[in-house]
Amino acid sequence: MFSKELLKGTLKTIILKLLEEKGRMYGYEITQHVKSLSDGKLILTEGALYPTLHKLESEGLLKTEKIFLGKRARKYYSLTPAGNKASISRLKEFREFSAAMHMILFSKTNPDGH
Amino acid sequence: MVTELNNQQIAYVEDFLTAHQLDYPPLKEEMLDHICCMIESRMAEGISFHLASKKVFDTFGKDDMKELQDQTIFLLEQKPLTMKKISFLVLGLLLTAFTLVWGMKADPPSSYPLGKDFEVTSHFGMRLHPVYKKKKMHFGIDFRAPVGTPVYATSDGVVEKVAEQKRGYGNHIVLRHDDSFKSLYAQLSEIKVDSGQSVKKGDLIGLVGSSGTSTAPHLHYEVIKDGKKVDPVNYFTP
Repeated sequence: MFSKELLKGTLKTIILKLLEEKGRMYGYEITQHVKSLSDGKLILTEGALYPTLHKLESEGLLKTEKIFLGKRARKYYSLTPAGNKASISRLKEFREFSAAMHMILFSKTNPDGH
Repeated sequence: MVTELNNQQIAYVEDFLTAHQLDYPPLKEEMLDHICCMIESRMAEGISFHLASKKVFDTFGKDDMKELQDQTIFLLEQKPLTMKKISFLVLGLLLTAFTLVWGMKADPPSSYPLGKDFEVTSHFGMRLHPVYKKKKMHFGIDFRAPVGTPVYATSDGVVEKVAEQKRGYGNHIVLRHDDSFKSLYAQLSEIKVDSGQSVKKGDLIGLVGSSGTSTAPHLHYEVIKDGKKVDPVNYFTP
């Protein structure tokens, strides 16, 4: 498990990227997918996932559709055009951030970080 | 084998959510499906609904659902507030910038520095210099006037320079009116303003004299536009 702080800054990026690949997903499906992609190392709690999903929807990055299964309603999320743009720019940003972090923490001038 | 909860089981899960104070409808509906999925996935491993639901319910702390809901509502309400703050900030900045630019935009120096009753003894342009006796460019206008005649600012502005010299301009003042225009008043006997002081059009700034390179009491007046001396006559308004 990773710390809350680490996850907090990357959760939106994860959600946007998954939806970009999968088209549409519902909440439980996202948690399962993240778990399996990370070999169980990254667990999305409901308490982190749903507030973020609703937030992204209110920002116009996600749209939703509801499918009724008897008494249950399943809410599917997918990217809006703005969400698609955000996914691309967030991925680029994270790639650069990750490279910079790598340079800072694991460069030769810092042998302890190896 | 795919296990699906029946209506009675779904109602049981719903009661769990209600007991945990999850009452925001869109979230409740969503969490209902989520927890049903969790239970179904455990039941697929071959355990009963009773055991599976107990195990799933146990993964949630007493206040987890309430916190989830509070956090969601908090994030949703944050948006209009932030947008409002940002728009106020932008509006404020625009207003400030506009005021500053507008404030800097004074009229060009347009009034007569001594009033209209004084004779122009030397115009802007080439002339025979009265002291050096050579043809020289005259970069301003000379008004003949007795020593002590009041000199007035020809537009709103700030005193950019106050100088006392024995030669050339003698005692003189430079006013800055805006980004473009300045005016200069020379050969004064007295200076009545300080450098950096704001002045309004028509304010008394000095008195006519004959200081500097001068043959008789007069006011030498210049208008400077974008660093270039221009004929003041073009800016006087009747």
